[in-house]
Amino acid sequence: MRRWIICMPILLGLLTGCQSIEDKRSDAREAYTYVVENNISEHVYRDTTKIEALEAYEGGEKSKVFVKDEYTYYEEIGILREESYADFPEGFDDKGLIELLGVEAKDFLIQATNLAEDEAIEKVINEYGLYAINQYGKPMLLVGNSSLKFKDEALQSKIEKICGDQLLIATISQGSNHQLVELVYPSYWKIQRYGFQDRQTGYYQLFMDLEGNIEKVKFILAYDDEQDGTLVKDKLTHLKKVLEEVSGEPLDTVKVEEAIISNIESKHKDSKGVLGDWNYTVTYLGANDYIQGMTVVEFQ
Amino acid sequence: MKYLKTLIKMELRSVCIMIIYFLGIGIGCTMKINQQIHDIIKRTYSYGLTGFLWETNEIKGWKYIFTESIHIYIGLSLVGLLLMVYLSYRNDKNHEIGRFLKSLPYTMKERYLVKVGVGLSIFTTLYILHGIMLVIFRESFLEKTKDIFEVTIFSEIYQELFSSSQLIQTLLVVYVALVACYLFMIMFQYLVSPNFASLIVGVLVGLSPGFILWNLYIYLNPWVKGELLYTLADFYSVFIWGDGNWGSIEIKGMELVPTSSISYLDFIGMRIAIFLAIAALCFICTLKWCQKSQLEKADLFIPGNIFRGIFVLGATLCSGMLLGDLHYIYYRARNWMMYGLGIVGLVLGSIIVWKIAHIGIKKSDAKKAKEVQL
Repeated sequence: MRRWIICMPILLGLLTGCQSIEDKRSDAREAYTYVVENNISEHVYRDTTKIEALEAYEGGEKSKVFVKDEYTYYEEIGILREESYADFPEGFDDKGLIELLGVEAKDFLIQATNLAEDEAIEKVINEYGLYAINQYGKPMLLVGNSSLKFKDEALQSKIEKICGDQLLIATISQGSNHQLVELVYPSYWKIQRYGFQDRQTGYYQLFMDLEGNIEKVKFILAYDDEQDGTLVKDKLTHLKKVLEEVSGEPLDTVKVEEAIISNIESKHKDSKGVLGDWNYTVTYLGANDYIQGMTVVEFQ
Repeated sequence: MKYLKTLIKMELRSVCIMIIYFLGIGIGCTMKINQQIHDIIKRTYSYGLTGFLWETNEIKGWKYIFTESIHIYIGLSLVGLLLMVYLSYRNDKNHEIGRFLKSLPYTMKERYLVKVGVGLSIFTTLYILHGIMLVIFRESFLEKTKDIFEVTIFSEIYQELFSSSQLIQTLLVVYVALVACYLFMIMFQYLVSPNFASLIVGVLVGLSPGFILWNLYIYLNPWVKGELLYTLADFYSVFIWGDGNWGSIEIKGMELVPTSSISYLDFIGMRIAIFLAIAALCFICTLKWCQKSQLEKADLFIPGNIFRGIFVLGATLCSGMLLGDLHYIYYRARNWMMYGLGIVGLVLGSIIVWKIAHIGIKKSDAKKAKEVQL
């Protein structure tokens, strides 16, 4: 009898203890619930007229594949991404395309049809990103457009100047004090389209404050690992242009270029240095499933 | 203290291989974290900013870098601690060496304290090393991904998501829990005679409360208010052994709120108190029992009368539940078959367990009778 009298309160105490723990757990759960704000739409909008025109374009006799990736999940968490493009794997119809892209594209398209085997060219014309390559003896073409635009016109024109006739806006994201713009070469889409990369391509990440002052530039260069480092020469010449546009003064980038080329060729030689007001680091990242070799150059 | 030096040396020699083991798992787990951080950085550069969230599309993926490695570390440490208990009692349980050791001028209490001291100091030193490595890796991860976090909507909370105080508190809870397990396992070396069997019995006894509580909930559900049993079982299996709670990140102003769950450990103080209490209880009980126990006397499977009774009762109950469980797992139905199988298991189990628990009793009885005759 005495044992029962001792045992019962202990059991009851334990049970009520368990119950109150359950309540406290849900309180704690609330304490660990964070609410964040997504106000990227106040600064960025989508101008979809060109991409819609591209989607509506019939392609004449030659077929067209339109790839539209809707990254709604990323949009919900405040990252706007553009990855829509038309692919002409079996060649293309010049006349129709010139009508769509503008007269300026004529030279590019003529050049694209007369490419030698394995040769590739890319350019941005009238906000359309064009990438042409001659593979297996026939010309292929990718046409893309970026619908992402800043509402701040000064910032938009600044970014457009940096893009020039080579880059397109791919991603815009914003934090509480900083924002990021990713600018890609049209050839970068080929990685997404065909799941591999056999030629040099790349993209830029511009880290800015909310006023649009650029604080940091990252240049990510993707290439064929077996390649000679000098084949990325045209990307490096463009790197100089981008950096000069960003910093607003002429720069001597010979040392950076040499560092990048030796990094590609040695596959591990990371280096540091100073370029004007920038401190730069060159890092070799190696291969992944899609890309055979990658080198990151950071300017801060 | 000076005369214990030889004893400490002897104990250290038998478990010194565990230093390599614990060092190995410490380095392995930190290497895994390093690899994961490297993969995230690489993915982020290959796909741009969206690559940062690629794998799980959730923020919990980032925190998993640390919690997953801690889980692996806990599992491997438990195995290591069991091995350490086995190694440190291997000599004592041996017939010849055990008798020799007993002839040395050390009391059982001293031998126990030295064993525990040596084991815990090896484990503690290497655990602290591992903890420091984790904190360093956290710093380096945040340093490497700082610019990326700053340009996402998580810019204001990412420091809290990876708060270092949470990490250190988690490490503390894990440490106290592992120490409690170690002392619990050592206690069984004095309760059960054969070296290896005592480890198995210890592990099974440690797991049995959860098993019994969950099964009582299944068996008695129609008659007893299930909620009480459920909370008790939940308390044992989730609160004591569970890995924490899930909070979430919500995005303001969204109609369909996409949430991401973040894991954290709750009731850290209470968990530490519970594990400390278990550890202290095991320590004090063993300290009391070790004076009477004769480690090298391996004739009896379970020397203590009281523990033998508890063992027979518990093992009989568990074996009955186990057989009924097989039916329940396959058919998910409570019917006469389940209860029938349970009773069959109870009967069969009681016979087997009785035989196991009384190993060596006849022998010792016969010995005693012989002594009386002489």
